[in-house]
Amino acid sequence: MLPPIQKGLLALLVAAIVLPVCGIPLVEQNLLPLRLMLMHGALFAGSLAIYTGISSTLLIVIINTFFVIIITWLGDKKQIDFGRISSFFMISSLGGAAILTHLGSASSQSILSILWGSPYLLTLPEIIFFFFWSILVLTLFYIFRSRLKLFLFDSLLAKSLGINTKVMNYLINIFIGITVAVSMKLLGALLVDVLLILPVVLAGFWKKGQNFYYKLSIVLGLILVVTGSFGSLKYDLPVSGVMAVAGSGFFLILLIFKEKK
Amino acid sequence: MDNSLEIYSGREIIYTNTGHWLYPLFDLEIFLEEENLNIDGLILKDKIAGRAAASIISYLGFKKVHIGLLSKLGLDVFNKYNVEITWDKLIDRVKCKTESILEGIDSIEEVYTILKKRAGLFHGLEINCRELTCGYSNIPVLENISLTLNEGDTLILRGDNGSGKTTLLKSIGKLLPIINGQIVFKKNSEEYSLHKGEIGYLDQSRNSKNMPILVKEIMESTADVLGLKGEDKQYQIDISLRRTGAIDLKDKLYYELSGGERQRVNLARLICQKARVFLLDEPTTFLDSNGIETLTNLLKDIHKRERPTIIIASHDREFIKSLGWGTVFIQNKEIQY
Repeated sequence: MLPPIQKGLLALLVAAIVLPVCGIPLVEQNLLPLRLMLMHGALFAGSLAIYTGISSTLLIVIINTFFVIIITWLGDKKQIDFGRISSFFMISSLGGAAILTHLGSASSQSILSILWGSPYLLTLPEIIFFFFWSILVLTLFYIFRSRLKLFLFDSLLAKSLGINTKVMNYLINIFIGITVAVSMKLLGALLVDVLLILPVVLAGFWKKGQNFYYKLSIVLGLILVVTGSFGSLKYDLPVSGVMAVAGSGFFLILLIFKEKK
Repeated sequence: MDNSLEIYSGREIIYTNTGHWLYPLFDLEIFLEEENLNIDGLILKDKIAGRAAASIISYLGFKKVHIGLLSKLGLDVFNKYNVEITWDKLIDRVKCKTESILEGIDSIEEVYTILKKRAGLFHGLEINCRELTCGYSNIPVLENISLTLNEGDTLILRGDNGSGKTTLLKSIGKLLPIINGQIVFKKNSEEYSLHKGEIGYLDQSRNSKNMPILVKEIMESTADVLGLKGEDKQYQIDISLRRTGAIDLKDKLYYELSGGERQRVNLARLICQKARVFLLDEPTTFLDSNGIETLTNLLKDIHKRERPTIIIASHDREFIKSLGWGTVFIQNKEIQY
């Protein structure tokens, strides 16, 4: 059995690989509202978990997967703007969470703890599940990398080459959705934000193609985790906070010195 | 001379082919393109040449030729195109059906086209749209239209914005479900089942994303999806990029290319995927005059050599004029000839 800090570090290292990989389609397809919706979905699922006594991880995955399927279907069938549908789910799930919290007489702190997560308090089954889920996601991204590149580049071009873009769209949203939902419960919302978006945005400063983009995003994710973990242990600060501050500082430096006019 | 066809660079044989009829010459055309050779310094030796072979040899640009058995009709062609010709034996004509088919045709380009079609090397498909109704969400944009294009035909769709040009292109390209009617593809007058990538669709406006993707990554991903692997894949990518003059753009980011360069890459992709039907939706959007000229020349050249069936939706009058291809007008949900 690993000590808590090593377990947490292991989970963070896995997250540093899988989250930036999911972050690229999220950034390239402008699916950032999806991430916000997942956070609100996690709050609702957390409230429901406290109210019903069912595992919060399970409910977060089920509810967020359901939300993702619904908004992907509405966007596909009804051509409704992704941002608008996400907003609807954000507000309604927040409202649902408020009602459930009231009915269940749960403290708001216990609900919000779902969003902040704690990598150092993870159980072994949670780590094992996260590890295998990440392996599955990374394997699928690798196998379908060419299709994914073409789909992200131009979905009409992908369709003309016989790629089932509708299925692709569902799969991308569902896999990213579940990965983010699980990570959010295990690691916390801020950590997910930092690892999902920051490495991708930082890697975007070096425009050397897709393969490089993926590799650099992962490397930057790992650097952020190492920096955050050591910073956290040395100065007794929250790991997500240290990573966010370090990454944002790096972002600012690149913005000043590397961004072309 | 053991081989039917031999190509010399100085004293060194750089190409041989023992194939039949005119196929060695069409193979040679591909070889020359692959190797990117300067044809001026090469000598062609062939066992026999009539008017057909002489036309292709002249069309390919050879200036020094030796033929074992040469027909007088062939000699006339060589002389007309200032080819330095020697022969072992001169005869009146080669006993071949092709010689009589070519009678009365002066243009060397026309002769080349006829021969390539006879050789079965036309890449394009016949397209039959029968009483086609197409649109979005079951709301028709075009109703009951019928349209036929033969293998290797070209057509320009004209019409106002929203008239249905894009809808028709997308329907033909199977990118949009049709509401009613049929679209049938044929090859050699027989119904043809399309394979992956055989319909190439270009939509300039959609390629404006700033996603950091290299030209070679687009080409490699396309080749991967089509199942090409290893050396075959690299060969197909290189030959396609070379074909449109985009080989030097291989390591560049797509979105950093000019409009004209993007179209070179896009057309290379269609060649790489061996598209038999090219569907181009407003391809001159975002192109300056140089870009339009480049695109026009490339399309003419591709059509001349690979002979895909090409349909273009455009309202760029200069572009349409410079291509000089047939046009139809789309108005009031129907096609007007």
